[in-house]
Amino acid sequence: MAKILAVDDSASMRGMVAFTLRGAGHEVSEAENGQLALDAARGGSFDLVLADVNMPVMDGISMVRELRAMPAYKGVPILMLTTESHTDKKMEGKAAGATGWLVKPFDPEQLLATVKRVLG
Amino acid sequence: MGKAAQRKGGDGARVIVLPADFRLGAVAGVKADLVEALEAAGAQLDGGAVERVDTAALQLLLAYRREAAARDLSPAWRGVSEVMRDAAGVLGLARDLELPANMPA
Amino acid sequence: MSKAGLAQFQQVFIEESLEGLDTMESSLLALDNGGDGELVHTIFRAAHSIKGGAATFGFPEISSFTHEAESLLDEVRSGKRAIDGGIIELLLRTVDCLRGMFARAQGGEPLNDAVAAGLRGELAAAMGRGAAAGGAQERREVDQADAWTVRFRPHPGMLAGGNDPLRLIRELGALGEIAVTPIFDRLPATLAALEPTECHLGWTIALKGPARRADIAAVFDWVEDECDLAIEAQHVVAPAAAAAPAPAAVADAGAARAQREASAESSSVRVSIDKIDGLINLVGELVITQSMLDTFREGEIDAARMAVLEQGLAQLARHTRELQESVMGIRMLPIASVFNRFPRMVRDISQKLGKQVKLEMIGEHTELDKTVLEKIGDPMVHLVRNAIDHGLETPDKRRAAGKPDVGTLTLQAAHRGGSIVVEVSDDGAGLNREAIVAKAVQRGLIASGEGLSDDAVAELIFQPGFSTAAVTTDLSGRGVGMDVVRRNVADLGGSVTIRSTPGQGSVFTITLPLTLAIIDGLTAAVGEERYIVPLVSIVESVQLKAEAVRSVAGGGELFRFRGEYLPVIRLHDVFGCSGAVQAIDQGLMVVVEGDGTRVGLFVDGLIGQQQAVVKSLEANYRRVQGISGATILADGSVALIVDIVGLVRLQGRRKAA
Repeated sequence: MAKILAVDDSASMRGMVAFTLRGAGHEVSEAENGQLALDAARGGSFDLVLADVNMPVMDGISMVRELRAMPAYKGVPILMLTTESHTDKKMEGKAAGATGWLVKPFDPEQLLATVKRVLG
Repeated sequence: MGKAAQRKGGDGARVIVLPADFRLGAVAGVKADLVEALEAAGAQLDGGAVERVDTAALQLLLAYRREAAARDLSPAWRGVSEVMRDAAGVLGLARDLELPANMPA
Repeated sequence: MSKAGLAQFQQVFIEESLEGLDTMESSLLALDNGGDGELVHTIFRAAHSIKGGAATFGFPEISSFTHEAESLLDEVRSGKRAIDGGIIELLLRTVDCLRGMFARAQGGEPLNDAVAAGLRGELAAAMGRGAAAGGAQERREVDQADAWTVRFRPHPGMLAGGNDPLRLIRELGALGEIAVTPIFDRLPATLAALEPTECHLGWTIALKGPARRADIAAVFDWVEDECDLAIEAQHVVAPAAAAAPAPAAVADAGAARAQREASAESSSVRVSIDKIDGLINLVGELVITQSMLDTFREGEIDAARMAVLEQGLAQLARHTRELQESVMGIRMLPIASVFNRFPRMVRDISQKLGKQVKLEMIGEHTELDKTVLEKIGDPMVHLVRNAIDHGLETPDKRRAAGKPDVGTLTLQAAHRGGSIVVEVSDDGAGLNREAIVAKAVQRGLIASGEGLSDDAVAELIFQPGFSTAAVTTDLSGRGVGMDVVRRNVADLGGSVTIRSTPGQGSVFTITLPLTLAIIDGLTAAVGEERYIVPLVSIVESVQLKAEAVRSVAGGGELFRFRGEYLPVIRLHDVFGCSGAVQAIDQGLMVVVEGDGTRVGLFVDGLIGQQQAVVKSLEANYRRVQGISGATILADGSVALIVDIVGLVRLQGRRKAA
């Protein structure tokens, strides 16, 4: 199916996302923070990036900004996994170039529905 | 991201083969080919191998087709994949792209 | 799959949340000591992760509780609120409360309690609003029609952000029948003028089918500010009864609890990817070596092939050893998890006692076996309490002694040889020789202090029932003495010693084995039997002349070693081995140290050094005094591992008897 990069400093959240997506047949790579995600992105190509907002080393917003500066990641969907229900984080992410967001908490079904939505 | 493959058709006409992944990352390269083709009195477009396509790609073809029409060049499709045909339909661009009614991909 | 899928990450979530709470705590304490603003972000991030994860993994109580703390932190983070001692105190209690909630989560108990409820109120009050406030439902626009017209004009940059109008219009098509008309007015007249990665098109979409405005708006929720959008109802139907928001899924409480119980059963270790990659590499090497060795199944083995075979076997030995080290390494965790509980504790205790203490921690990344790590906490807690309570002086006493008001307590961990050394040191008054001697005499431990070396006096504090505190404080005086510390450490195969300089402070040194599962030892022959003597406890082995050992009254034997008289323990006597060497000059005296005491173990001889994989004797047989376990030797026979500390104690009891 699709190649997806899951970025979250929380092993449980990352594990849940990866497990769910793998179960749906996707090929998932994992990264613990924005910096490692950029390394992974440079070393491979992904159809979708799912990223937490708050992470040590490099947060999700900066990561999106850097990814979008890479020609290969123009137009590649990037979804922010965010708990903020208010709009500022979403808008900050959007301004940095994120495609959309998935509001935590989400269950595996919601995750798959959103991924399906964005991958078409 | 590279340029679309070009070859001469059997009838000697210039043919632009559209890439399998014809999306945002590929449009700049294809645009360069299309601009060149316009200068060379047009080309045939082969979209038979297109597997993935997005709005940017169809918008590019639309701009090409519109300028070609302004130069009185007739549309010449050598192939259109189902994916392209479907996408053009969703965006309401099938007529303006002058896609052939039915053509084997 | 979703429930089972979720359950396997619950335990991981709880563990990382506990780590997150440790981080919050240490950062709060650092902040309290004037740390920089970056700490606030660290604290916020930890709270934020806990909140988000808790909701995802089925702990809504923890999520909503953490939300209160997070809101407060958010105000601090954004500069709307200055952080002060009061807030730090409140957040520290929040950390404690969350620890409790996670503990209950693991036990499958109800998560909320009175403390949580009270704290929630306090957090809300700190935010300047009542706990009941907030959460007002957004009023939803309920608007329904059978036909809609949607005018959609993406801004040029929308494509680069990953939102493709093709996808959005397709989604709209899922709501009903659509007729799409493109708008070309912004498309450049020439191809050359087209910026191909920007969107120059717009669309008018006629949607036929009963749909709510909200459903249509939801399609465009990610691109609200990246396009001009107009949604117009074409054929309005009578508004339905206010459509209530979908009720939140009510989790099956019983099932959730069962999941939690299942996931709490086994403890787990988090292993870095590097360690796992290392293992995978080694296994790969092993497989290669094995297939190389496999070629020797067939054909004659001549000298040339023999050389290759030997090389292969040597490789196999090396890989096996490396694999063993790597696998053991998986159990190794940094001591930071133990150290991290001290800043808070030191702060609380020193405040209570009116002392000023600066805590320094060195070598937090030193790795220990997980089992050792779990058990070293309590002895260290005692040493730390002891150091603040008895070691460090009050500011005025320190000033009088010409020392700075603030005392320093240092925790230090390091690898030293095959051991881990953990030191708890303070720059306090040091041991009070007179007080210790007086107490020991009073307790009947000694007749008088005369002739006792300072070291011997220091050793007295490790005697059962010893306490020097004139007033038993509620901190150190919990019925746990230094003897228990020493016993706990000895149970881990380690030892505790003390060095103290009057007026300058004390250093407690805990020496621990790297792992409990494997020990390095010397194999000793005693008659027909083989015993493993742990290398860490061996000081030296010496061959003695017969006259070097003297019998003393009561049946004991002593020999002189570096100016000290050490008792002799004849292993063949202790363990009843037959056919063992009896004459001192024909055997070997292995000087060992355990529990701070040196003794000589008399054996027939030493056979060699080896790593022994420890098998529990208790699990397979029963506990035997003086034996800590058993191991299988290369020839398949069983050797017993000598428990030096146990033997020393046994010897002590004999002497006393």
